[in-house]
Amino acid sequence: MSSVVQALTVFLPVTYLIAAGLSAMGWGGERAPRVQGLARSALALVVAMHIALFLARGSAAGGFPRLDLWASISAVALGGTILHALVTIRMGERGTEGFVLGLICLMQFLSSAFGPLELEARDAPTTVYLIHVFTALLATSAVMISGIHGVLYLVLLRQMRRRQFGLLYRQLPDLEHLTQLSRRAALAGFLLLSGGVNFGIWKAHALGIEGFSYTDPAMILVLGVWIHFGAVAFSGKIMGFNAKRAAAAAAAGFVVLVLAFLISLLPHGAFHLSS
Amino acid sequence: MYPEPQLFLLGLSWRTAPVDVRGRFAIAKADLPARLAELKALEDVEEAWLLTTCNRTEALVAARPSEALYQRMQELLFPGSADEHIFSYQGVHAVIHVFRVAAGLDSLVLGESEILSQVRGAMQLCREHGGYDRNLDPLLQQALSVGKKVRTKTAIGKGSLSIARVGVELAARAFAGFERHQALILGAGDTARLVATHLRARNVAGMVFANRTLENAQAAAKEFDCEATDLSRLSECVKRADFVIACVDGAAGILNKSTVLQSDLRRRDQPLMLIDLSVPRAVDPALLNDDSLIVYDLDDVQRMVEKNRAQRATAMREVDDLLVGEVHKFVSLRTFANFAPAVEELRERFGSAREQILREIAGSDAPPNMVELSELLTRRLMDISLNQMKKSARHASPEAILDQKYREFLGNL
Repeated sequence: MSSVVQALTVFLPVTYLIAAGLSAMGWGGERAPRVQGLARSALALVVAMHIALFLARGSAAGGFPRLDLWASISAVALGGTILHALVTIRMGERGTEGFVLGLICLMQFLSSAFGPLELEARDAPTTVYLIHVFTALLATSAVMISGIHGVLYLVLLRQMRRRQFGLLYRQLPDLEHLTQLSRRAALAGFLLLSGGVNFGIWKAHALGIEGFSYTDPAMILVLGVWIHFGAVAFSGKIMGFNAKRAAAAAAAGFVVLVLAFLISLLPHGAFHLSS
Repeated sequence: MYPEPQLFLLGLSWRTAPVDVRGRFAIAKADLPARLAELKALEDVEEAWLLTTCNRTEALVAARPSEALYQRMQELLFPGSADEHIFSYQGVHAVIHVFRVAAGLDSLVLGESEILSQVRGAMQLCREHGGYDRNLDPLLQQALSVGKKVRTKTAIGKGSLSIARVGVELAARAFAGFERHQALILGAGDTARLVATHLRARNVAGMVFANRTLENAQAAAKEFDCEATDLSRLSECVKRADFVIACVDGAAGILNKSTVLQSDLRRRDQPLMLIDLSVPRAVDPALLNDDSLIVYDLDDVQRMVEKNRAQRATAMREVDDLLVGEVHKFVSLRTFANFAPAVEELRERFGSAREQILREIAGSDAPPNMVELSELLTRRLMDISLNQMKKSARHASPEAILDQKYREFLGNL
């Protein structure tokens, strides 16, 4: 099993890179139907490979693995790929797929390069714990997608205001689509975080986890992110919170979340102090 | 070889004739069947096809070679025209010309796609009226497929070259379609109407024409079934609009801080797009630094047009290569089709001569293995020579020669 894990760990970032390249060629600027077919296949392949990697690592660990920083990054990358594909296919606008897959490729490359091949198994997780972890990771993926689209919105707006007709001007979807993508992803992140936080609190109370506190910095951070992305998701209804401000808020929120994630995971190896 | 009709083409276009000459010889759609019948009735002409648009009138015929043919065609289609206004092509050059026309390479606006539907329409009309059949049909069918191919495989048709259309495309970069958006068009002249045509084609939710002279705005609004106003309500119209396209003359700085209000801009979700196609500029330079606005002027639009033009020019080289391949395909198939009956006739003659010789050998005292060997040898020799003839026919015009002919054609344009 370890050879399968090793092979998938090596080939996954490469496959992401190929999928990102094909998506950029197929969905941006001059659309080439033949490349679009290949891009779809590459995306399906990379998702299948990524799921297979997690299954193989779980199998090698002999149970549900304890997710360290690098495995968490990989899980967020997988969640991001799936969420982005679902949102963009539903909206019929896949012009940002190349950019998103490019960032995800970088994340998976870091995870593959620096993460250990073998993960430790943890005690058999409860259903509530599984829901808490999955919703929290998917919520992180969603705010990542929201943040990326926020950045892309600001880039396109800057190009338009400067009257530049460069590559990004031609490749990116229009401002309204970018806003919609950012807001919808923020809404998904908000809803998933709502679930994740509530299941986490329920778990803490039900299991009587020692050291659980509402003043846990991670708890405060998550509640802050929850409110922040809730505001981004509903920014269209808030007076003065226009698309540009929503895009900047989504981008800034994602950066803060990444920093908090790194600060809390790097020294402790776990997100909560009480874990 | 059977005597086959050859291809002759005669016409005038924007390349050779000014607009009044083109107008004089343009054929109305209703007159086309009669002109086609007259053309077909000309001596030596077997099949004919007529194409007439605002930029060209041309006739393609399959006819037996005749020195007076061009003269008769010219007298019929372009009586009294000056020779310098007329162009004519024969054989491979006629094929090249038809393919270039369908590909949009011979159009006034390089790569425009309208010509393809005009070629298709002319084919339908001429076929319905018995204009052409087996000689011209393969060429015209292939011309249609070439036209489609160059537009899907190259960038020849990408990016508009029209100021009004590029203006609309710039506005489109802010919106996911115009179906839920209101446009304000400043002006009611030709450019404003052209802008409205492109917006209507993109299903804009609503349009308002605002003009200094209300009557002109109302006339334009009536044409497009939308609203009209004079400039006294400009501020209110800007407030309601999602984007503004200004095509108004002599109204410098009409879009300024008193007509584009800060309080309105702050309420918007997306920035307000101001596309200024006016000379002098309708947008006051004081607005350029406002964060809630995206402003493009005529220079930006012109820059975009030039970029698209350069992109099309680059694609032209690709199209030329593609066309040489298509001409080669057409010529090879046509030559092969002409040769095939002759080869079959030869095969029959060779066959009967061979059987006679074999009978003579069999009647002599030759041993059986010699008779068998003779049979085998003659069959092989016959097959090799006939197949070689077919092969030569298929590749009668190597691509290099056609490429040279194509360059010659371009040199004579």
